[in-house]
Amino acid sequence: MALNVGQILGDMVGAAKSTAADQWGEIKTAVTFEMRMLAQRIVQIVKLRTSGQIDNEDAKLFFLMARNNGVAAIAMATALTGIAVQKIMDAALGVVRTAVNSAIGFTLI
Amino acid sequence: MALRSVFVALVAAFLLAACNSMLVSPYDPAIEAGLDDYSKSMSAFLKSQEQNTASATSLYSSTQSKEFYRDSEATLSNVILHAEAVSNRPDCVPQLADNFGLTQLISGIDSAREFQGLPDDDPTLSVNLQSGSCTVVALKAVRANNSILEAMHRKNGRLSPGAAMLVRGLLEDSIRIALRIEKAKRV
Repeated sequence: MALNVGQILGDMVGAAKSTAADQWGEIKTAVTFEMRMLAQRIVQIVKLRTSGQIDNEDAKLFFLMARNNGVAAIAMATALTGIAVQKIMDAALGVVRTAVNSAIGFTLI
Repeated sequence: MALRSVFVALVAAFLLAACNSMLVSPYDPAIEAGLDDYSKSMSAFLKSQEQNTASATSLYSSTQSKEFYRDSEATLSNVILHAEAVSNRPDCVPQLADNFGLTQLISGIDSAREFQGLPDDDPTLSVNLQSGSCTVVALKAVRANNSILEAMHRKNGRLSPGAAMLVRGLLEDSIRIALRIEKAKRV
């Protein structure tokens, strides 16, 4: 079975684009949500301190918790990107799997 | 000729995929289960702190509090151990995070911390992107925040309702972030 590079490329790029759009939307939503939560928590820390419900030392500990969550959010964005890239590659290779395996005569992909 | 080009493209694709698979460790159900267990016990413990502020059980020195801190530390350490066992990276590379402007945000927070005279990083209370793979970093953030809860509880003897509510919110944020990573690997 002859393989057409143009056809395979078109299929792979089409699958990659579609998957990338979905993945990017999910990452953007997740990161935006966590950043909004971080901002809300910082506002809550200030409110608790200014209303006298916590002292300065507690405020600093709360701030450290918020900071840890900020670092974790960066880790999440990075991890989700790695997972997305893997899914994009899987989708791109998945659409040409049958054609390539048939052409080569064994299960390559 | 056409087939050869396809092979070249496929080899390149596989190499790319291999490199990318190094970015994220595989899904481990023990991590999700451990986070779920911790989430339930933490939520029950802190809701009890919010509602029974005058009760002896809400004191740091109470048996209930001691049990919670002992068990939660064990659960979270076990989850981190699982993540480290399948981890394929020594740190979390924040390349894309830079594009989001997130690392600048953290630098800003750190500057504010220094300005406010916060103590130097205590490894048990803080986490950074060099603490392990991205999964490990997120899990260590949960454990660090649980340690901060204990430090605050120890210092004050008991938690005020407002403090208990805020600490619960911050811990739920930590758990949600870590769970989001693990669940994304599963799909």
